[in-house]
Amino acid sequence: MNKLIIFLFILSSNALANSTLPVLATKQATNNLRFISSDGNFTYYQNREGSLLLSTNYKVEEIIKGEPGTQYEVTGTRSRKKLVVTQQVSFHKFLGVRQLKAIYKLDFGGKNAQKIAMGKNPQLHLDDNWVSFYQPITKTIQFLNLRSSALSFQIKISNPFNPYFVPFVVMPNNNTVIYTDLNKSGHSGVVYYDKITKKNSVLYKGNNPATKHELCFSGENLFFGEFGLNELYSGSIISKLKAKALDFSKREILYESRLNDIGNLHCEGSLMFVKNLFTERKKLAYEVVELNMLDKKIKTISDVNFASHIIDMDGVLLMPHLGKYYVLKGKGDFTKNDRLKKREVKP
Amino acid sequence: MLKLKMWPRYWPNLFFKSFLVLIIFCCFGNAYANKLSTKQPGIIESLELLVDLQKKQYKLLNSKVRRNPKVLSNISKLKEIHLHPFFMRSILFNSDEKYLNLAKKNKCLFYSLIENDLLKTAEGRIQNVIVNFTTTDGKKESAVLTKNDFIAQVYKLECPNKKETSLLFDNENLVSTLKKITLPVPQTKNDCETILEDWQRNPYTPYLCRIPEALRLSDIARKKLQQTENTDFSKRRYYVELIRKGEFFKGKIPYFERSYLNNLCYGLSNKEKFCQPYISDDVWSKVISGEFPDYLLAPKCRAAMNKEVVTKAQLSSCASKFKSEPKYCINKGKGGFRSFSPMPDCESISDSLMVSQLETNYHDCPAFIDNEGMVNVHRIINHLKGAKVNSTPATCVNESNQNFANLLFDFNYEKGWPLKLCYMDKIEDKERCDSYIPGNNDLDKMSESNVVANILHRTRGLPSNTKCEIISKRRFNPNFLEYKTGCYIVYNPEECTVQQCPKRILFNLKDIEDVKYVGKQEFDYFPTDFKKEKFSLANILKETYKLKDSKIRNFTELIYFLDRKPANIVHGIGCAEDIVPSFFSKKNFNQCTPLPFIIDGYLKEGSQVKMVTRLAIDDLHSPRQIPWNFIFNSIASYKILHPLDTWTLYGIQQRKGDSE
Repeated sequence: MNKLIIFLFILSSNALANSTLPVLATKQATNNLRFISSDGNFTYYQNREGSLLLSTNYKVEEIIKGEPGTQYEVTGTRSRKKLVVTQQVSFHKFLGVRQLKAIYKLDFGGKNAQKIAMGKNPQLHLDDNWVSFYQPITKTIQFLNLRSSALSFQIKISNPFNPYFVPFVVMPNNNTVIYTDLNKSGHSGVVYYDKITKKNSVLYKGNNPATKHELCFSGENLFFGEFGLNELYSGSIISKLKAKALDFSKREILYESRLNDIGNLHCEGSLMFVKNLFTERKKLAYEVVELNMLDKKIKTISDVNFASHIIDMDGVLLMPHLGKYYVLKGKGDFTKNDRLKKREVKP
Repeated sequence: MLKLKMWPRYWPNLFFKSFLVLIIFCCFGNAYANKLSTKQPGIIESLELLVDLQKKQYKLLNSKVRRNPKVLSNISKLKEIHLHPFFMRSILFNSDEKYLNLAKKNKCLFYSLIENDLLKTAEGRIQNVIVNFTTTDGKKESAVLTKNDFIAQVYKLECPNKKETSLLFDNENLVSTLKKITLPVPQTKNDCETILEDWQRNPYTPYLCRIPEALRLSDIARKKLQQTENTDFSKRRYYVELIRKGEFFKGKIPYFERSYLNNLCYGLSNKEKFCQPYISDDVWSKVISGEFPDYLLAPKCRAAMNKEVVTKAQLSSCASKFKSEPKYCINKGKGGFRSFSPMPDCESISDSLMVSQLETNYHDCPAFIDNEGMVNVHRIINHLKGAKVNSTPATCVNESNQNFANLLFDFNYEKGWPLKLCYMDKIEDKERCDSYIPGNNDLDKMSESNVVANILHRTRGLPSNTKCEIISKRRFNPNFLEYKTGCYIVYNPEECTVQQCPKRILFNLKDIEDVKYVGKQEFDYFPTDFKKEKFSLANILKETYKLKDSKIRNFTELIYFLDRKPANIVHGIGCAEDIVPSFFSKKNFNQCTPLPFIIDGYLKEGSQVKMVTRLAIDDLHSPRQIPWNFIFNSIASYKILHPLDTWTLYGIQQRKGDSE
């Protein structure tokens, strides 16, 4: 009897919470959806045959041909000039965390996809003029200039510690890269790379092997997250630096906690991250929170107990949870969109 | 300081020794005038002097008495027999403190310690004893007797039950006797102290301690034998005999009993030493005490020490390090077995291993394997087979691939194995492709090194016994003579996995460029297509190992399944970004990196339950504790992307021996 009561108690504690946040509603099935513009004028989605399609104004066009079992991801920025697509064939047959994917570039809302490289975690930088991606086996970060391939360059990171590590990369200007790296003991560090001199220097070095560093670049500011990954190295810090004066000793601490937050910083428009709410709820719980940079107050946004990520899809902030997408900020109902309205794309 | 260094390690307390000397002298009633003694040093004299004097006295006595060897049966009218005081003193000076402590308890225990070779004199193991005896006509004499003669006589006169005890522990009866003896595992500190006190009084203890002692000597003898000249027959014979004795005990006595006895005899006179492994709640101590299987510590210890074999002392040292330095496991201790980092701390790993159900008597290296599905399947096969492999970083790639390939071959699905080495066969005048299994393995003709050697034999007419070696760029130095000739397959370990590994095949330092690596290891882990369902890895495992199909849909089913049988494990696929969101971030809509995992236990922490999980990229011996909610979320995220909308979490349970 006692065992049953304990079991029921545990069961109730591990029950999966429902949220009061609105669920993203689209005409397209969300499992096929890959990107929808904030005005709802165009949608990228994939079909069972493994192709990526663009749907605009009642017109559907295939933009990348694939084979069944292919998986696509679409990445954009607030600049709304370019999109980067990754294509992974044999998505269900080759279960490789480090597997390279085909990377395509295309105009924001465009249909002409052009294959540019093989890599992982592509990111657009500097008004969508640059794309960076990572190649884990050779441990190189590649930078391609989307206007002039002659400007392209690469950085080889050190990381002898974790074969599955993926660096955070930001590009404050055309000649500067800031990225995270690991040393042989697993201590994370922030490295500055000067494209002109081809030299790098360590801006900040962590003091233990179980803290991850996150970088998030937004206009003039660089946000820096330090999140413990083990209870023996517990604690989280979020700080802010001026992108033009990257002195980590003078960084402004915006937030500190004794607990290990998940992090996954988002810094476009507002500063959000996934916080450990054990102190408040007296049980293990993680929620998306917003940090007010003026009064440094925290506002809890989600209510699912086990939030983990924040996705920015053309300005709409979403939280994936149990196969659904909850809307944290922005328009969430794309079912009533007036699709005849002419789409506006920045030149 | 010098004096301290000279002290024998079992001589912690001079006053205790003196006390023991007095006790034993009283016990054995020395009525004889000692003509050999010219000076009797006092207890406060230099220990060096004492030891030195004692050795001289013993040597003198020994040479004198040896001139008078006796066979006990030839001594007529024997009235009294005692060990010679100098012989006694030699025992006191040269024996281990823990056995001397036991000897204090009663004289019968003392005799059985001699019988079982646990006491020593200046000459080492006791083979003969020096005695003083008195005949009925009052004649007093000293003589040397064989140990067996002496023991038989004193048992007859003073310990009549001992003869029977000896018989119980002879080689023929040992196993059945051990089966009847309970080896109680202490649960609490008080419990432990009581158990130790019982053992200290137990007449069987010397007979039991003979076993770990023989095992220890056997290990030492094995090392010494290697260093002994082949012509030194007597020494070699002696070492071989010790090894044989050790092997005998190893073969007859199970691991738990051996570990228990080792711990008992090691801590016989020290409560802390004896109780430490039992009252500790960490898995490492429990492995040392024999309560938990050796494989929970040994492979991790081998990797941490970078050794292929670890001794018991090294195992204890690992256990103590993992226990005292929980941070050590986060970034250290996996040697060349590359995997995901950072790992959990030692304390967390210990907690996980306490409830872990997966058999892990080997080590693998996920970072050298591209398809994480293969890593998971290799782990499941080894669990089902109860495989025991002494893995090394040089063999781990081949082990995983071979295990996986054999699963396909045994299922008559050779077609499913994609890795091939292709070359132009001049005999047949067409391109020929031979299947290979990555890595070095001399014993497997399909191993990469052997297939390359065979191709060179076919295409370049090299002898059929040509051997190729897969070697890292760091080790291969063409300037060294040993690498100037022969066949080498050179790779860069920093930039290498099975799939993505630009390798150079060299023969006598010349590049062989017409042999190409082709094939990609693609398999359905769970079915993605109804037509090919049969050839999914989950189905091949199910058919080959006669597994019961158990879909795990929720938390209740998961807990119930794991509790049902101690060998039950659960495998699944979820999105890496959702299982461990601190390590993999998700930036895009429907972003997912499918990652297989095995769950083999759970831990309650207040109201929270964490699953003991090995992600396919994790070090096998460093399981993670992951909240169920993250696991559920990861499977739900993958399900919506799955072509058959499959819930990818299944229990693995063998039908064999299933009573339900």
